[in-house]
Amino acid sequence: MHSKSSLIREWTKNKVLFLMVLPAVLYYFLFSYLPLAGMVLAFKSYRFDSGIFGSPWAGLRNFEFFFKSGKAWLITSNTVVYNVAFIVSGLILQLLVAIVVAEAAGRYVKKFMQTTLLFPFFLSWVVVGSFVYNLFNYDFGSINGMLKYFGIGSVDFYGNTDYWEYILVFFNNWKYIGYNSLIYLAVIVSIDRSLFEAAEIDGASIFQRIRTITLPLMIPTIMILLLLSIGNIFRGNFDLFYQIIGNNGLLFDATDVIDTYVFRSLIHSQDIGMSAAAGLYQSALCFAIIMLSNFIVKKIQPDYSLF
Amino acid sequence: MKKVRKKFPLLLALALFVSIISACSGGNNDGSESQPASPDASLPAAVQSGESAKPTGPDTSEEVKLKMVLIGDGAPDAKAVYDELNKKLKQDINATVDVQFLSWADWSQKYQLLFSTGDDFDLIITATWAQFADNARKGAFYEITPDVLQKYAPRTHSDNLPEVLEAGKVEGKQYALPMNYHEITINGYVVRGDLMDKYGIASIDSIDDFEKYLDAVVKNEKGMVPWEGTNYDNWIIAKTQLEELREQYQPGNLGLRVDLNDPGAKIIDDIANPDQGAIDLYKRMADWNKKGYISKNALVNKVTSKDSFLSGKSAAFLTNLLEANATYQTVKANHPEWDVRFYPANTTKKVVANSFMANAMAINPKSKNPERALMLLDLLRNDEWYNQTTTFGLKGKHWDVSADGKLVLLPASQGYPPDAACPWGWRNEKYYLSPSDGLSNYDAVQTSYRGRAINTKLNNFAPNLENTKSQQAALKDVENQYELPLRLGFVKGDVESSYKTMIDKKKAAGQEKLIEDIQQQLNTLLGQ
Repeated sequence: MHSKSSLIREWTKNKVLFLMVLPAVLYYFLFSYLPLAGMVLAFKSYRFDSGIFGSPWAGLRNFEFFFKSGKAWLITSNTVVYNVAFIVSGLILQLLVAIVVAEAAGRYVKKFMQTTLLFPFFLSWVVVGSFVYNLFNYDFGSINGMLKYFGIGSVDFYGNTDYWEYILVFFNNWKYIGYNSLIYLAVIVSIDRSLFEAAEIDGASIFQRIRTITLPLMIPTIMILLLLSIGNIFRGNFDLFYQIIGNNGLLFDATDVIDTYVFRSLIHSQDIGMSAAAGLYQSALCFAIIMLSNFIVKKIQPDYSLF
Repeated sequence: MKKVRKKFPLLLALALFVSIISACSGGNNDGSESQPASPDASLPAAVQSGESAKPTGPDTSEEVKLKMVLIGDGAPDAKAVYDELNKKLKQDINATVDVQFLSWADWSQKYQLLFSTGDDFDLIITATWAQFADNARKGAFYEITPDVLQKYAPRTHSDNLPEVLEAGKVEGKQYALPMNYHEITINGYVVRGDLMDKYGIASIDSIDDFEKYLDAVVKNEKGMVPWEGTNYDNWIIAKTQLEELREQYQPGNLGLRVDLNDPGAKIIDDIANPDQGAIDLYKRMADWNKKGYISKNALVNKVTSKDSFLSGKSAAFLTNLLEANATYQTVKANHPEWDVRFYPANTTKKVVANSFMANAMAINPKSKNPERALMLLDLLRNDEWYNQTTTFGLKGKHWDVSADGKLVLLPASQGYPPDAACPWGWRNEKYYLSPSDGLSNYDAVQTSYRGRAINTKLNNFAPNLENTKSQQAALKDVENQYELPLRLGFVKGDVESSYKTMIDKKKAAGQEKLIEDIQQQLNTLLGQ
């Protein structure tokens, strides 16, 4: 199809471009493509002395534990529902923050808002987990202390599944809102100011300007970020769930995601094959959903699709 | 054009892949990398030290560096102690050892990784609680054949009891050298004597007495949580009440119990017959939980029960005798008025000593110097100086012996607390000293338990879990979600229905298949 000479021509013509892309190609090859071979572990009964490729085959036995307890559906749906909640609430809040910060008048107000919102991003989930505990625990938690002060009885947060969906969504947004809104802010800032000025002269109110200028111009970015996050919809944020919920069986039905379930089930046996099987299950689902959503987006508006 | 641009990274990737693969296989060839032989005077030292006058001593002309992996957080003086040991080791077997500690916080993740990543360690601690049998079957350990053992670890071969070595075998092959020590784990209640005296509780001989104590604390000591119930001690309450006091036993720690008095070792099937004893215990726990004896945070608390007790926030916890003794010594220094006491939970029933495999050492099959590693183990296990130095620290600095042959801790022992730097794998009854300054009933409790100890073949049960690993994993999750809250009395509705839910979930997770598989293995072990 292609002659050898065209390949060489291509190389000589775009030498610099090829060199520029080389580090990224190397990176993805080493850390994303090469480990793909490890997928074979999901179907192996791993032995230390025979290594990855020499170990005997296990068929589909490594996947069994996942479906055995009848929890596969529950934890998969938990994972998806939480991620959808994170994505939707995150999108709205991040857009809101970006627009407010962009439109906020004073320079100091802007800086203050950005700094305070960005700060939680730098806290590790371990730290967040321990202060969630200090807020909500029954005996000494500050929220229960406050409730008691106002004469309302203590609430047993850690024994009750009703609150945690909100608590988790809240803390996830609290942590990522500042950081993720930066991208939107960058888009807003890059919009040609003359558009706004013209609209202002024509008498458009601030809300009209946001609705008709800012939002439409942001849609391509929103779509890309949305597609990227949908690609990870079957992966639970292990740190978030594990550090905040921990090993509290009372809450598992409402808060268990694939990652925490796998961690708890395999932490004792440390079976590499079974962990690989769980990882493969997630990856396969993620792959399917990103292909599907990209396909749909492409049908509707080809410009917004990822590939 | 576009197509070509797409293909180029692929070609590049391919080229890289090939080069990496060949680099890897090339790396394997230098396995026998030799260190320069050191022609110093240390050669005859093995004979000098007096521990081995073997006619055909192993060749130690080449100096080697060994790497030993242990579990725990080490001790501040561990380096100093091992430096001292290395001086002597160099003379004795022309080797030095470098110790690496895997912290308790994440050892279980790192431990297995050491094997799968091909780390170059020589010696590693193993035990029943670290999946010894399972790892051995997966080829994680060097097989120590009788010939090798006789040649390089002659004292272990000739002096140690055959049942000690027997415990380190899986399917007839020796994969580990277990500790040379009859260990009995004595679980019980740690309470404060001052509070007992204040509320007129004479002794804690049963769970009822413990309940009275907790009741007195919750009613009278405001601001104090009677029992945190976290981590390890809620496990002990089930262990003592449901196993030890009913003379039941879990072969291989798989969550399956057998009656000790049943020679056929038939696994008790909770699915077919609900365990009334367990239901009663859980009811009691639910009652304790409701009355505030147990912290409402027990399931999520990030502070251990022991630390809470030490800081004066709680009034009791459950632990084993050794930990209790350590607690006693810590408290005696800071709060002598608390008068810490320990009451064993099981005062009359039969006791199963731990398997010797409760702690052991094994050799990496990829080790370049398994012979020298074995020689080191022989010294650690059987030589008084090596054994006691690694266990208690430097004599005269960290510890000393009293006139009646007991262990006296010197002030510097904080830097190397006895037994802290993980010398468990080579513990030896002959050299292990009991503390001179511990709990007043320390020796009496030990004697009482030893008098009741029985032997059972089940102790050396090395289950093969390959066929039931899915069930194990699923059951582990059920245990976490349903059994743990029950044990601490966290129930919605009534205990009986919660218990039934747990049993149903266990059934769904494949408990019956596990029982069937393990029963078969037990039958084989007992020769039925």
